[in-house]
Amino acid sequence: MPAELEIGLIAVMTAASCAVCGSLLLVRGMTMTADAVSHTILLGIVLAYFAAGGLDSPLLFLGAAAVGLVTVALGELLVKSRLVSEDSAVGVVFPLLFALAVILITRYASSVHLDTDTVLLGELAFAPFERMTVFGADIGAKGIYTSAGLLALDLLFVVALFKELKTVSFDRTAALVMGFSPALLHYLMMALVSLTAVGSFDTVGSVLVVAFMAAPAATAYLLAESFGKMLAAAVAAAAISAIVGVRAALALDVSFAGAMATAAGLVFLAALVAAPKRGLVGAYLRRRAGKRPR
Amino acid sequence: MNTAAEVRHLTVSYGEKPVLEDVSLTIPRGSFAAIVGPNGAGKTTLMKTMLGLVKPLAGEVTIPARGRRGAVGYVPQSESIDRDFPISAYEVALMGRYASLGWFRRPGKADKSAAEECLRRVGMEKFASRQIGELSGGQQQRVFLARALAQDAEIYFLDEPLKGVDAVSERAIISILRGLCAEGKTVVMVHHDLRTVRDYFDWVSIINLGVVASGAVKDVFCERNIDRAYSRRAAEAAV
Amino acid sequence: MTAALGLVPRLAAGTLAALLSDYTFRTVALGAAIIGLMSGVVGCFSVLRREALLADGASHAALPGVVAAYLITGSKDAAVLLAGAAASAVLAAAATVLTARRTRIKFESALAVAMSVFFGLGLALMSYAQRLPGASKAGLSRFIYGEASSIVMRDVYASAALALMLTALVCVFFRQFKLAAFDPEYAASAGLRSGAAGGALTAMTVAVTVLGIQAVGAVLMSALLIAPAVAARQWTRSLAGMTALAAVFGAVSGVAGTAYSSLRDGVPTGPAIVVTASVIAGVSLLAAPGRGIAAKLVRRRRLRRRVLAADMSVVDELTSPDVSAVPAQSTRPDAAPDGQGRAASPSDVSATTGQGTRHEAPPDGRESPAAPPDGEESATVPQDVSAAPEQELRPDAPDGEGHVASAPDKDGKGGGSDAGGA
Repeated sequence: MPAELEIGLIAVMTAASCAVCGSLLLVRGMTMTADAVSHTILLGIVLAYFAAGGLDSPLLFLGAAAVGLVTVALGELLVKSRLVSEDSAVGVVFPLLFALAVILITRYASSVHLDTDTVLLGELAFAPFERMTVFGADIGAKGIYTSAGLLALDLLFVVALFKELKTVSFDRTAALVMGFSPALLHYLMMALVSLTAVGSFDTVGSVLVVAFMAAPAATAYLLAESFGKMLAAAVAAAAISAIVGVRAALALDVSFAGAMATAAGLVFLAALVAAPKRGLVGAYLRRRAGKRPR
Repeated sequence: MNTAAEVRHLTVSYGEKPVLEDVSLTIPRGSFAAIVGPNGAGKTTLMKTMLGLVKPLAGEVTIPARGRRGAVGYVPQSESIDRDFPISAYEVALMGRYASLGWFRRPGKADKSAAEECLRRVGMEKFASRQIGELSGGQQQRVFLARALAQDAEIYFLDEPLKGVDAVSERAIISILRGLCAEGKTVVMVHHDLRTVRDYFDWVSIINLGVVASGAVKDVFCERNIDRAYSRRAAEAAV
Repeated sequence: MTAALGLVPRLAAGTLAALLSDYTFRTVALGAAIIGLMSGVVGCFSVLRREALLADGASHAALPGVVAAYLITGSKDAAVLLAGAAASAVLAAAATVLTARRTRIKFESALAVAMSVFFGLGLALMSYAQRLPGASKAGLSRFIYGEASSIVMRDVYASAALALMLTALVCVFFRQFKLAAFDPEYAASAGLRSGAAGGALTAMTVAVTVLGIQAVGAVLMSALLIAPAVAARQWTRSLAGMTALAAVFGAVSGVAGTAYSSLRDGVPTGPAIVVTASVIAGVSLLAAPGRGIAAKLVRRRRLRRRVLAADMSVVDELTSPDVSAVPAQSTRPDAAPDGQGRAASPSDVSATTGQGTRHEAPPDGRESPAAPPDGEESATVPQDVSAAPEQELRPDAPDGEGHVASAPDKDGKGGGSDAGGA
């Protein structure tokens, strides 16, 4: 498989899994959590790296996901104490964990591949160099398998728990009364977001993770009238953004992550302006029609 | 007496001051019960505690029907829901069937036709495909009522379902709830408008931090009890 | 033993003296202190206005402006780059506000989209700029992680000037800012130009953020605004006190963080500052008298014990749970203190008119009856009211309680708006 196709494939699948998680976050008004989690998983990776002594251990995955959950839990604890508002809680917790991670890396792990640049910015261009081999035979880039695995996990999660997720996101109390534990669903969701962020960061960087958790979901939110359609639209918007971004990055020779995030922003902008019912133009026309005397 | 819900010595506090203090009351099965009281009396908190959403500091709530999945129905305060959520009226009604389905199982044909039937019962079948935020307050409440109907619960809790609702919707909602009580279901409702208590309900709990009075409307809904719940506070507020 | 104990402060004093005589350290520490001070002051308003995350967004969104300014002018002068940073941060903030206001997308999601996309654009531009001759990566990427050691005396003067300006602004317009931060609707109804004050506060947040990026970096800048404010809030009830204290906490974090990173090899300054500020916030949250978590736990336990003890006696008195009228007010001498009933008024008795009447009496500024004690739902609850200095902040408001309580009703359309519904 040519390297460019591999890159494109990884980009599309990663973008799609981020879009699924992002949709779950957006309808609950938690998009900024993606930002927090995608930063703090760095601490998990560092700690797991110290524990495992290498960068190839599955421990890294688990450690990172665990710290992602810790971030969410700490934030909620602060909110529950009623001393801090929700947004401030996020703003206090995640920079602390990220700062700790940066200190640990620069002080104790600066010699290894684990530098903050890779985490924040990622490097999709290198993805084709890491090969997956089975019995000595090259079966494609490793990133293809991780991103495909993640996408499968994300899709399986939303398909299997579709009605539960819809209920808990729309009306938490009703979910509780019906016996679908909101806390359990919430933490399952957060675990999925953390896992997706970890699985994606090393190929595309945490910035792109945030962009793809936020923009395609917001695009879909403007277009869709039902939760199912919103998920589908988010995945489609993510795939289009990924393809456009990769092509643009190749053509202009700029960073893949940057170009993909920009493309996702442009797709959102298009929806923002022109979405039939919810777009700016639509809203403007309706306001004008409303003002006109009958 | 056949009890649908019983509250014993309930004390609830969010911070350090109690919101409810030593509340005890019973609601008989098949009754249409109102919870009334001045603002800040703890009506919503009482309902939330009865539903198990708020953990009391002391005391207990017994709802015999709770053993069965989906036996407790709930209609939210209309402003507590996210009007922008991408969901249609029909999907909201269908949600009522989820309780009895349990985890992972998907709604089948029977569930779908039941949801449609419930939308018809509340007169909202024409709006089935509308996104929830495109409906008026009264219409939204009727959709939530359809969800509760679809759930086929034993006891229904409604938190001020008539707030911000037009007269047509109000009449429709009350007549449906009365129908439920006639079938032997119990309806408990936080209510604001004292003028309609006598017309609508047969059981009432007047609360203000504690229970001022609780019983059949004809027995306890008298000026003395209302004054005790309301005026004293008003007088204090005026000081 | 005593000798050993005495040695520690002497050693510390020695290193401190050594540090203070170091010119670079003095410059950087001074710069960090000023930035911390400003962040503390401005952060108080951001936190109270629930715009805490705006700083995070603005700092990320500044990146493309930095790179674009460099690409256009070819200069790496801090002033030029910061101007670019401010321009793109303002653009992103405007886009966020427009999206949140005109579409169904909430502020928070709009912010996440704007900041990540802008940051991505910045990355793309940066990867382009790095291919140009003469553009070393270090010059630009310090805006992502911050590089306090790059602070020179000129930067200190510039930020000192800005700090003076901001402080003067805050002092002169304190009353307006207070209202804008706490209750914009009331401010508007009282004829105060809260829009202008709010806009000024947002602009100040952006200005401080952009300036701070150089020291602590885009990713961590938000912490420097939020943590000192959150810490200060725990110790005082007045906004003036909170602002002053936050300024001190911010400045201390700046100096201590710089000192720590100069004493320890390989500890970057920005993260060290942020960790210091976070530790201060953490200690304050736990230990502050009255409000702190420790104090609250103790009091709640006491309350529970009291209630349980009282219960036992009540059980004996009541023969049947059916007894309708509970021995009311008299048995609860402390039952109706200030909080509960205050907002109730005679007009509530026939509360069918919707709108203004729904003030589920906030005992002390929070809407307790409707407040879900758990997690996410509280988005609709005015948490910031609880995080806000309480009494002092509604100074001479004629309906001191009412206008505060009406805040959560903002988007509950309620009332007659849908009267003609079906």
